[in-house]
Amino acid sequence: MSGLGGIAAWKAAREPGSQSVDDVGQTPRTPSLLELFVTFFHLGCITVGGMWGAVSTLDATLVRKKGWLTKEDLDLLMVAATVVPSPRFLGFAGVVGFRLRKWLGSATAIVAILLPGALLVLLGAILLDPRAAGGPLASIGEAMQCAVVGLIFGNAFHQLASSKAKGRDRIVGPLITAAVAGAAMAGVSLIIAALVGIAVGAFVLRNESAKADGGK
Amino acid sequence: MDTVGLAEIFFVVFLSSLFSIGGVGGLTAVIQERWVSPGLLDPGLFSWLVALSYMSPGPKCGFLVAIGYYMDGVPGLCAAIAGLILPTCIGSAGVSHALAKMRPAMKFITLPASFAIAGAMVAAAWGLARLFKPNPYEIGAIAVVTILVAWRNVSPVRVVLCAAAIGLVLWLVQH
Repeated sequence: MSGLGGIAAWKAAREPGSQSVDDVGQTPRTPSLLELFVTFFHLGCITVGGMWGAVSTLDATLVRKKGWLTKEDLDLLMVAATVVPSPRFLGFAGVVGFRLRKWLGSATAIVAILLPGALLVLLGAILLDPRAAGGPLASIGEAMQCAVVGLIFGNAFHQLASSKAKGRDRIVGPLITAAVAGAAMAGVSLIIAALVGIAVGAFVLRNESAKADGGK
Repeated sequence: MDTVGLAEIFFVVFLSSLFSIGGVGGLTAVIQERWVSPGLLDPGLFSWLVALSYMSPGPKCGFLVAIGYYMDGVPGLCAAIAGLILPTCIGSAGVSHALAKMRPAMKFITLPASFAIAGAMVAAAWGLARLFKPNPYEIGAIAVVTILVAWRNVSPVRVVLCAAAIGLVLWLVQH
């Protein structure tokens, strides 16, 4: 729980008159919303490979350059971002923004980190729409369709592999995957199939997970 | 392409965001099911936007904003952004307030969710493939990409760039 200890230390450091310092020798400070926006917009422009691919950039910017977070806080917030119901990098911006400036900070950081990539996609789609442009772009678009379908299939495998199931769950889990996929392919609403799969999984897989936790 | 209302854009993006724990695959699954399969969004445009999103910096969910724009112009774009912001803000606040308390509860949801979302992704990929009716060569190409991504963990950027290069070469050969 060193990460939670880091938060406690940081909260103490933010109390008026406190002399606590972080691990780089500076007191974490609260940025303005404009500063928050500019920083996360910049991060949205220069980071590739998602949140985990940007660890060193986030450390250099948020911890060492800006001094908004301690290294411990950064690590903990990256883990926290994985349980936020949104894409991880967006969730990370949300938890950091909320930590620094509450609700407004959260919304500001999310919009700022989302905008560069979103505007690039929009611009690319408008200027290079393969359906409208025809010529080589139509052929490229068809090849990309195959690539995207393969990517989604491949990512589904990674989603399965990253589940870290143990024991019986390693057999039951993929059966749930197959059942959800089969039901959706057969015409059942994808949302309903997935929700039923989660509910059944929470019931069936719970004991295995609890055993694994208890063993730690 | 038919237009959909702002409320639906907001709702579907909000819903897809809830399905994105563990990666952006859940996002594509929900969009595919709600808009691509019923014919509200062209599958070619959808694939193109997803491919561009993989090549862009920052979070890989920028295609949702572009889809919002294609669905209903600038208001649709704003609705999509709102649909992404709201669950993220609420989730961030909840996690920030109760991280220690939430972690045990999340363990019971995260594991089954990862299996269910994997199934949703398989169904989404299948549905997308059915829409553009691939020929045997394209089915082979899909299988190769799937194996490369699943087995060798090839970067999506490389896959998309290679596909673009192959598409260009095929066009040059045909013309």
